[in-house]
Amino acid sequence: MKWLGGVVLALVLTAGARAADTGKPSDLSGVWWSQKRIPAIHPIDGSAIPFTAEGAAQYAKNKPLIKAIDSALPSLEDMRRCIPNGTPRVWGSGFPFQILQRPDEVILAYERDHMRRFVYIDQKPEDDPDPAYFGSSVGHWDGATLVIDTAAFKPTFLDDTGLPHGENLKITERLRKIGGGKTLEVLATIDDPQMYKKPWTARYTFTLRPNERIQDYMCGLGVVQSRFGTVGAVPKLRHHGS
Amino acid sequence: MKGLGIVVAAAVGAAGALMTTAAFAAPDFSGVWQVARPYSTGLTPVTVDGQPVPISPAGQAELDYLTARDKAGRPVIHNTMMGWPKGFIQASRNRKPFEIFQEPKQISFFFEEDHQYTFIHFDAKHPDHVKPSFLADSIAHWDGDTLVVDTIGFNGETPLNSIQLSAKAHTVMRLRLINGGKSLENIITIDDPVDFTRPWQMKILYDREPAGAHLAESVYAENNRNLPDLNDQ
Repeated sequence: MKWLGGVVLALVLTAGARAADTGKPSDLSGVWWSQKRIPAIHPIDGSAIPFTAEGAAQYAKNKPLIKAIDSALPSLEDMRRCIPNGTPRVWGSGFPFQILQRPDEVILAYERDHMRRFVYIDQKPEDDPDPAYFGSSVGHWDGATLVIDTAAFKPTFLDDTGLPHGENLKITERLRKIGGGKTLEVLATIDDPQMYKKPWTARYTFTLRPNERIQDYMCGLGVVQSRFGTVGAVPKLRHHGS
Repeated sequence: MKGLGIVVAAAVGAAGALMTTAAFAAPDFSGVWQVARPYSTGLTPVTVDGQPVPISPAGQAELDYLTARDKAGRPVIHNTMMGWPKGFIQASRNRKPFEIFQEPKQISFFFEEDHQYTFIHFDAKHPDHVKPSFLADSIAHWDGDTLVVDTIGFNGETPLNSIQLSAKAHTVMRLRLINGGKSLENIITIDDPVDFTRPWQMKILYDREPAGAHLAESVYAENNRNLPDLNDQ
């Protein structure tokens, strides 16, 4: 499989060479959507996920757990399905997202569970941030590529299969336009020595959807409602009139 | 000379219109805001005319029902407990900040509370068939320095104080900067023939947070213990 990894890497690098890097920040704003879920992520070089022993053991525990969480309706006892996915899992959700961009701030607004991330440009990381599902992010431009550095995560899964992470997880995401500007590439590098022997990188691509708009998504007690339909039912809150 | 006067007046009018169009720059609402205490949730909405909220018999019946349930120790679930969207009005009255991100074609409101957000587009009209939702469908335009947001398409589950706006509700918000840009005023006309006997206006003031203020991550799904019984509603 080693040669396959090399081919994949070469393809990625070739695509990179085609990316239009003007040396200046590019306009990433707009609605992007892959229209497909990416439930499992893998290193882009085709190698196996470099689990540590602890990482492999935790992954084995997580796999049945995440299935149980994602198949049950949110209940009084368990609302974990409505907990924000965090990154990089959110990139594989199969829902669109919108990038809002200013020189000092970029906001990533995901339709999935109306999650959003604030990325402050050219600011130093917070000294002692409160842990969050999306961590604490700062960004900078490397030519036309937006680089987002994130740390201070609450416990999440890295993908829909339950890939684990430890307390000191650091994620570096590199966002850039390729394919004449109509495709957004996201490279997410996972650096977590507790769960993985070495940093590794997953890749996602999304298509610009100028005519698409972000829709409501609701994950609440007893119901999940999205553009793809309703699971469960919305209890009637109103009792008089209509 | 009358004809010339008309021509001159027309020319001046046209020039004025052009100048107005060219000179207009929308005020910048961008930044982080938080409701001023007297206007926040938990308090009676502040009406513009100083009169009591003109609640209808159906609205009063709903309020009485909720009060009786509370007194009986069987409180009714509400949106916050459920992790459901509260809609713009109630979310903006919450004592947590929100961020406005303003662009020419869209103005976005990001609420700290339960990571809610709503995007409002500068569209000319609502879609022909609005899909009812908690956030409903909003369109915006500028009336001078005032942002006008017209909203229809509520699903009957969007709260306003203790009761839910009905599916027939129509709201118009007029937002403008005051106090030298330190405050944002929101005058909301609420037309809901189910809950109220007539259209009425409420006022909310938001204070601008210091530069560099950031929103925290707030997730209600983490704190759903001791909720009312879902089967007892």
